[in-house]
Amino acid sequence: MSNAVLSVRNLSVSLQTGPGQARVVDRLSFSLHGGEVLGLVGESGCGKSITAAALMGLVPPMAGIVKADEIMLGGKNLAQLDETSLRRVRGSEISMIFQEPLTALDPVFSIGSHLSTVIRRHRGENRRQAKRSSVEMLERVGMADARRIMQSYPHQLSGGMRQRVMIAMAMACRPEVLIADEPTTALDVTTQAQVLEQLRELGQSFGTAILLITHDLGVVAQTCDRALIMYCGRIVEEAPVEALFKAPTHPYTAGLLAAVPRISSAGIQRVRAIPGLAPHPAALPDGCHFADRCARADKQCRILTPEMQAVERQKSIHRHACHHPLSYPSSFTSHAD
Amino acid sequence: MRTDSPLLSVRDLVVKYRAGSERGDILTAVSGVSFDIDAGSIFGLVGESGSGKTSLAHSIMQLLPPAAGEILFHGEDLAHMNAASRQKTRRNIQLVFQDPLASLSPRRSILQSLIEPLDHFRIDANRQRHARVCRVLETVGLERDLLQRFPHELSGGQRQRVALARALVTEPELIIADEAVSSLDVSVQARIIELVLELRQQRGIAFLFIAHDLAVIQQLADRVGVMYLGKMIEIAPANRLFHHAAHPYTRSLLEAVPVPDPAHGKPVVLQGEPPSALNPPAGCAFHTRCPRAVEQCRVVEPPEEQINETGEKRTTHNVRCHLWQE
Amino acid sequence: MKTAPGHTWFKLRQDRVGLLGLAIVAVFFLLSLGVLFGWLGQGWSVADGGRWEPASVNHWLGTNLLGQDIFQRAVFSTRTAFEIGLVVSLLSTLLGALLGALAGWYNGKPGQSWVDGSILWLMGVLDSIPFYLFVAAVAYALQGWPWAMHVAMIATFWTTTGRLVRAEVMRIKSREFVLSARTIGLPSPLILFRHVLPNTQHILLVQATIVFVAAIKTEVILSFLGLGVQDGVSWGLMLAESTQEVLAGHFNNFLAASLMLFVLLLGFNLLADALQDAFDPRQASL
Repeated sequence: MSNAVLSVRNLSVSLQTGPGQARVVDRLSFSLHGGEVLGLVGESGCGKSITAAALMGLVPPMAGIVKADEIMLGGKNLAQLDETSLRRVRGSEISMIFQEPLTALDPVFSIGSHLSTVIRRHRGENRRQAKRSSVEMLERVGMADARRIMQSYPHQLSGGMRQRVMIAMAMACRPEVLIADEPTTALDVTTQAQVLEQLRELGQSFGTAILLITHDLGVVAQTCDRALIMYCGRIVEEAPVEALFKAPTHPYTAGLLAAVPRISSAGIQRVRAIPGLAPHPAALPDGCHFADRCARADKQCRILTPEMQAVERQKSIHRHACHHPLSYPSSFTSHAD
Repeated sequence: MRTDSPLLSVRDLVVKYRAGSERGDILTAVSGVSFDIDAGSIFGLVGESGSGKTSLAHSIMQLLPPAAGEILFHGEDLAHMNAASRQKTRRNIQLVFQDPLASLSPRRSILQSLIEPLDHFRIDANRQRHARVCRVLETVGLERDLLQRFPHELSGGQRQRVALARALVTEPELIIADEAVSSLDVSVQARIIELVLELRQQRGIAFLFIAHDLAVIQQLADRVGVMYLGKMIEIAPANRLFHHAAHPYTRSLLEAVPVPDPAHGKPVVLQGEPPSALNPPAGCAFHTRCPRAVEQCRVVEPPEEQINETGEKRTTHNVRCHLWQE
Repeated sequence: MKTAPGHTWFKLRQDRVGLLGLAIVAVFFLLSLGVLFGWLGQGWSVADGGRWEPASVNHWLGTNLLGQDIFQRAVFSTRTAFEIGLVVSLLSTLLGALLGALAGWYNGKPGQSWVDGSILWLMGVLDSIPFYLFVAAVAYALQGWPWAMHVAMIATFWTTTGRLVRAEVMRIKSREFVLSARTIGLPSPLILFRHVLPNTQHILLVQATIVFVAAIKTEVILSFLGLGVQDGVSWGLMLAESTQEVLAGHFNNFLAASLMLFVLLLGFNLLADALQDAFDPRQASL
């Protein structure tokens, strides 16, 4: 494992909502290593999208308060940079793609215009060079008729194509880190597979680390190397993807896995819902936020917030925040060995 | 619950609508679809965007008039019903939409939204309507104090359960769920799936479950139909479809679903772009992306053929493909 | 926030400038109520002073050409202003909402889109007629009837609201909760009134405040043309009177009327802006 290109320590975000202050992200800490795809997984409202916005410095000060000990990227602490410096970093060292590409692209500008703007701003190329680089990028993301696409406008392209344009724009400057916020949620299943493959390939060849935010466990299993499971603003489990799926240690992760339907050839495996409802961010209970829905919870869980504990398994680190984690089956062997 | 005639029967349905302002912009959303739904059974309709599945649902709900073909409910053609029968049918077929926030009127309380169908169809005496609403809330697992709230105050899962409650309140025989779980979190989706199965089991309600997620369909459906660009390209009993899918599109769909298991192979990527419904390809609509297309596929539209040996209509496995035998 | 109006009120409370506007409007409204109930401004027509008396204990702002008390007249005019403003804004907004909703609903419906077509045509015609020409024609036709001015204003001001509501209805009618009502089989008029129109509230409220301002400003000009208030006094009339007085060097009348007018309109404009922001769903906090 190469060393960390992005290192986050104690990131917190509080929002002012109607009922009161809501701690939507609570002292998040994690590292992203070069060339890997890290999944940030959770259900709606868990704080994953706000985390992405906070990392990019895109949370409007009126809406929320962002605090972090450090967000280290390329030797700089993003948490302490001012807006001007952040703007220089965004797009060139760290970039982001969003869920709905139609609204992320300005309808009155052509695709070529979008791409060239990004390239010229951060790579300082002139118009002709930028045009050539744009065509190159489009071909890199698998667009067959790149020259025609350059002249097209966003509404003329399909959802999958627009998303690939977004990837081209985000990767044009060979950033260290790419944050992809639910990039395939709005796409058809067949297109989704294409886009994810493109993303992963490009990340590998450019050496870009990818933070993939999603709620879809299938996407995590197929595309990510490691994953972070978020619940109510906290990371509850962190592990290499194989260990996570085969032997989750946090009850919430296990609950999620039991709720995902899988196509099986040997009889139907009935999905099981997690009982109860996630608490409202403005009314979070003390102790472990998952206690009310957890079959293993006891009094301690409702008073004491579980801290992250690290366990080394098969040469990789597996972390969880639980007082009563699920036991690790001794028969488990990693295919990586 | 099994009678010989199906509850809902769709025969050669064609639905068109005006896609733009030009005279020629007629889009054929559904071109010749036929299938049956038996009372108390769950029919899964699979398709991606542009397949025509939503237009099909809207047509059954009488929101869009058919350009050709018939929709029979209890053997009676919807298009030829008198006003009284039509109202009765409206009570008996209900629709649940994908986006629960959009499907509930934003400025009306949950109670108002749930009572509206009862008032309109004059079900029960006035006093008993409130009691019925409470009963139906309990069925979907919601608390009574939700009645005074407004849609934007509830979570996505709660809203979808309210939408389901609203569909249930008239005690319909058939519920059409159009991507009803697609925008929900995994654990909430699981709860709704459990709920649908309970409703079928305990009340014999039939479902037309429309989704693009085959894994969800497998949890629920007795019979499955796959649509591509307005045509039903494969239709079969559920276990046959998932084990012996015959159409290349169905196979690609099955292979494209990302499996929540890293040890499983990577999904097989389907190349090419989905075709436009305004300008459908000649011959078989799927030939532009089909890994096995031959000359015949580009020119001749494949007819519907039955590929299993059974006399019973409800267990036939039909496919529209020139190459199914190989 | 418990309800949608609750949320809007919450946003409004945070807007200092908007609250100021609301306060100004409230004060003026109370004044006008005072006049209506006979407690204030009753002596507006009494000519018991000398010509152009300066401010004194009897006449707080002095008197005008005819010896009438300027202060009383200015206060009485608040009632006139609110009467015109409220009547015109309420009725024109209502008319605009109704016709706009019908036009938007029947737009594109095969066989029935003539409803949309004819309403649009009507809007086009009314917008093309020069306003003061129209008012003069109506005033002439209604021969000194005190409501002539109101009718003329309502008949032309509804079109903007109508267009906005039409566009919004066209957007709303394809949303799923409307489809849901249709699948039950609810008749169109019921769907329009119960589900569609209430969701145009934000437009209607903001338009009503804008039309209120427009109505009062229009009355000023009409008074200059002699087509304005016939039985009573308004700031417009006071301004019209004061043109000659100003030439003779007496400014009290002019100042009183224009200051009152300016402050009320400023208050309303601030309120309208704040309302627009508070209702804007895109500015909703996370």
